[in-house]
Amino acid sequence: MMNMGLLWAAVGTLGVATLAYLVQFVIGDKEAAERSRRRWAGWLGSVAAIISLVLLTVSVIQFVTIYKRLPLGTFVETALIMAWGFTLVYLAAEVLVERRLRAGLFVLPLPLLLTIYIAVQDWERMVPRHLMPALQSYWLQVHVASAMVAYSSFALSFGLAVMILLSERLPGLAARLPQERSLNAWASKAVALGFVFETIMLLTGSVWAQYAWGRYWGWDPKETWALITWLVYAFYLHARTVRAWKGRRLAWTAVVGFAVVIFTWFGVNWLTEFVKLRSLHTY
Amino acid sequence: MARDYEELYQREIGRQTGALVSANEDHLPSPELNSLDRLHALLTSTSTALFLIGAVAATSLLGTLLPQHPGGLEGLRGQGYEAGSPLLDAFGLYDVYRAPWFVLLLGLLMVSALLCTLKRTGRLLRACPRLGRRARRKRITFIASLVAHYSMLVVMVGILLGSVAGLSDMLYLPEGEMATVPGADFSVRLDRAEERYNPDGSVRDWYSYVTVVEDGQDVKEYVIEVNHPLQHRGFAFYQSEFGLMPDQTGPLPLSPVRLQVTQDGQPLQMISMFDASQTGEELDLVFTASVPDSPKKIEVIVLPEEGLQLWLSRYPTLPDKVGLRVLEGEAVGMGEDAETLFAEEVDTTATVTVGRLVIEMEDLDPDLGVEMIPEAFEQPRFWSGLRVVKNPGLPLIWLGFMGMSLGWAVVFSLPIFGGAK
Repeated sequence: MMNMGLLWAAVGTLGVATLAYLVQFVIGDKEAAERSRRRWAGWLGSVAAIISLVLLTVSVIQFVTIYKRLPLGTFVETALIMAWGFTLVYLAAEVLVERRLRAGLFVLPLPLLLTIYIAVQDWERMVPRHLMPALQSYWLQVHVASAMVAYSSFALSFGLAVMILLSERLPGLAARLPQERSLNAWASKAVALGFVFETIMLLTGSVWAQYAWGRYWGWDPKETWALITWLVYAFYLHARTVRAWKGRRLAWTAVVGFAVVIFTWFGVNWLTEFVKLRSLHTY
Repeated sequence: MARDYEELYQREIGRQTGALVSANEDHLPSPELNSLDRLHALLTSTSTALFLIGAVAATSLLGTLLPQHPGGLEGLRGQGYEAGSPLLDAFGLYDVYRAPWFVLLLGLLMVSALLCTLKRTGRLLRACPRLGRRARRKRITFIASLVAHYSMLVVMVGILLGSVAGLSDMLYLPEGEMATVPGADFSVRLDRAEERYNPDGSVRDWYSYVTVVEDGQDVKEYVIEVNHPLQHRGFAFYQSEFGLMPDQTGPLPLSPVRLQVTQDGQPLQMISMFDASQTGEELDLVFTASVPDSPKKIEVIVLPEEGLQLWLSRYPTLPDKVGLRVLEGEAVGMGEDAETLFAEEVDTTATVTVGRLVIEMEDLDPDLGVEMIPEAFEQPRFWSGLRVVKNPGLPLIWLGFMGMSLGWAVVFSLPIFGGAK
């Protein structure tokens, strides 16, 4: 039985982190006292985010010990692994690579919402002990793990793109955000990393589909939307490298890209219900 | 501060080599050119490439908004689909991915990708001798990008080859029967088909024990299961469907089981869902309710006073076991309101304790094990549906996949991890 207390604790710490980053964003930095408070808020945010990651990691370990497999099989399981991945990739960028990025306010609400979602689910009913035959494959692990890295990177690029749009639209806020040059550079790096893993996700899924069903591609709605995601980010990278797009146009492309990611991940599930399409994907 | 892509390409390579890549490197064709040159210029334009990427993304989307069928709207109507517009059908929107305009769009994107990549390769070759030391790492990135793009085209060639020279068909085989593989000069015999279960009663996997027969000789034995296809002479066989032969009427070789449930030593009232005569404090269950297309037999017992249900499932492949589930909830079913208290595979002679309940089972004919199935019982006979696929394009596709993954990994990891200062 999964311990929901751990997940609710993660909801709490992610909430604290988001609030701390909000406070950090709102406080000005004209006076020394303000700068000091701002620094404290930033530290509180980082510490709360790290505790969140620890709690989510413990939840993943707990899942593995109970179900004897990685949480990659059903939608609610992938939501857990994504909440973990979003937090991890955000922290890797924010804490390890560039502390002054200050993207927490714009990225952490995503794992926060995901963690609330998974904490209110009835795991006993939604998570089968045993996966269906087609899912019993090592390709599943590579496929979903790549999706996790890809979507987490795209989530980070989305947060940065929102910051770029904010600083362009509201010049008053620009002083509280990192330089747009820096935001542009990091958003593109996040998209590039995501694109590599989106490619690996598509290709491993294709190899696996060939092993399981005898066809590497079948225009299954989930497959098609994953291809659309890939194309949107291919558009992003080409627009940037060969057409020198930047700023608002490029940021909007990243926002559209992440909207497509979200739709691929859970929009397709209700779309197939709504249009009465058949999808072989369970998550 | 991080130096990003566009700077990498433009300042490092672009400045040093003159014109390896530069932003806005091309313009839409000017009217003085002749029509072939104009077409070439249009297809090598990066604006065109970007437009085509966007167009393929947008039109792929259409096929997920409407139900799709190889026969278009007519095919869908045949399946009972009532809505739909003949106008949309005329544009192929009920079979988008095979519609001529979609295939053309995809083809144009590939031609555009090929021409742009060739153009960049030409630039690289011309610029190579002039490349300075500082540009060397950028050159690796550039070459890796070309490798990734060419690999994508290799994949497309593989897909084309597969669609021209490949085949995909279904082979339905009852146990013990043999059939010639479509398009091949060998046969496949299904010796045995099997369905196996998890302790909670869900299907674990389907197995087809097959023998490949060439010129009357058995040449290869293999157990096909989901995710484990048989490969033979360029053909692959995938476990796709499974079922019980429709003429199967005889009882399955399963022993009856006597069941009693007590709570604090008091026997509880039980009612069988499938056999109204089975009501009382002690039941003899013969497992007659079968699951459609499956050798599995189930019995559902309701304990009305406690608001509990017992689901017992049995299968001829494991005659000494009972899949036992105890569910809480008045309504029969495993839907919204039922909570699983117990789900395991237990012996037909087991005594199971679930909370205050004690479930006692007794095997009424323990000799009816796997080895002891008497002749009076007709053996169940199953069939297996194998998907037969021959795809000579696969090696190219896999090769292209590797090139794409490696190429892009190099392209994007160098600037991220190497060029960040």
